[in-house]
Amino acid sequence: MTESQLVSHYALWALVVGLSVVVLVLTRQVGILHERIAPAGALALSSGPVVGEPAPQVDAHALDGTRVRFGPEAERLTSQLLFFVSPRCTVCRELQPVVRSIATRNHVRLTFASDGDELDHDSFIASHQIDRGDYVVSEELGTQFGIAKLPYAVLIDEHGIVRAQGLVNTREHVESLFEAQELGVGSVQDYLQGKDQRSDSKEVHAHGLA
Amino acid sequence: MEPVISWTLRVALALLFAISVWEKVQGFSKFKRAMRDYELIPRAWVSIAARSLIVCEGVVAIALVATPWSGLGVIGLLVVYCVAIAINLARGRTEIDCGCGGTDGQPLSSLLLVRNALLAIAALGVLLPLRSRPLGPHDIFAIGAAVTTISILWTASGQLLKNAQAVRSMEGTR
Repeated sequence: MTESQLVSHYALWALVVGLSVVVLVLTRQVGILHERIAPAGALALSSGPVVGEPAPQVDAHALDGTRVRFGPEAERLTSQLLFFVSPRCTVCRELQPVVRSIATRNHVRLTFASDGDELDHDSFIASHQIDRGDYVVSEELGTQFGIAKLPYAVLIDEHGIVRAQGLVNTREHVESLFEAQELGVGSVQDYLQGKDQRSDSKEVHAHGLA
Repeated sequence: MEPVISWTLRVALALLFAISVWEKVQGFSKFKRAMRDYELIPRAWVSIAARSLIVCEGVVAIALVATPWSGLGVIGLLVVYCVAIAINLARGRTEIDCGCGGTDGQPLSSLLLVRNALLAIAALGVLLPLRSRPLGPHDIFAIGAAVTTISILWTASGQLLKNAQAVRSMEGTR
């Protein structure tokens, strides 16, 4: 081989190996992306009421003084979305209009729940034009529902049964609650777990058949 | 056959079978379970059959470096695998693990038949008579680089099969 042929021989091989490495990395990244875009949903925390069971019986007062009752004995005509917020939580502030529009679209009554210093709440309500009758400040409510992290949303149906709940950080998380109610599962985690179990049982079934 | 191409095929196939033996020994119980799931041999024989298959692959891997005739062994093994996979595909049992090694199992698919057919073509190439010519340092380099490239692309194709599976399972949820 001439010198120029040798140079091109080695240079081309280096390029081919380099290119194949790039292809490998790309395929792996596509694989990782597939894992990331698996259905996202509200993260249900273990404490608090169980989905499918009645919401805890709590009597609270909205900021305008009206009595708001939670639980199976409370009289109501529509489902209710309980949105736990804190005026200091940035995500709650950003998510608030989103939650409101989703609640309107799904014809559920939206109730904001919070606790702590009353002054905070007034400026929060004023800046977001929330009806005082839809804003409940009650420490008992948060304790009964086992709220550890914010913003947290609980969907209660017209019979006072908890249908879905979870930590919500995005629009998809809030929508997943309604999706979960429609599918009859407690949370996206339950759904994904159920899917695994279904495929497992399919396998067992296949073994049993043969 | 040009010796550089023949040697590239032989070393790449030897590497493939060596890795396959290593993975099967590492996850022997998983491999046994996969073989049982194929339901082609009585359960009592599965353990012995699994061991002999691993030994066969090991022998083929070593023989590939020693003699071009080992291409026959490769084709023999691949025919056995293809028949086993084809029978279970015909039974419609696509959910069982193919037992091809790797950390997470791979379900049966016709793509595996295509993959094995490609390997068999490579093994046929090994069997072709060699054009005698001394190998120089540049040839050795070319063989090494080609084997490296083939290994990387092989891994990438495995990842692509896995991705295709992820896409299918995602379509199932929507």
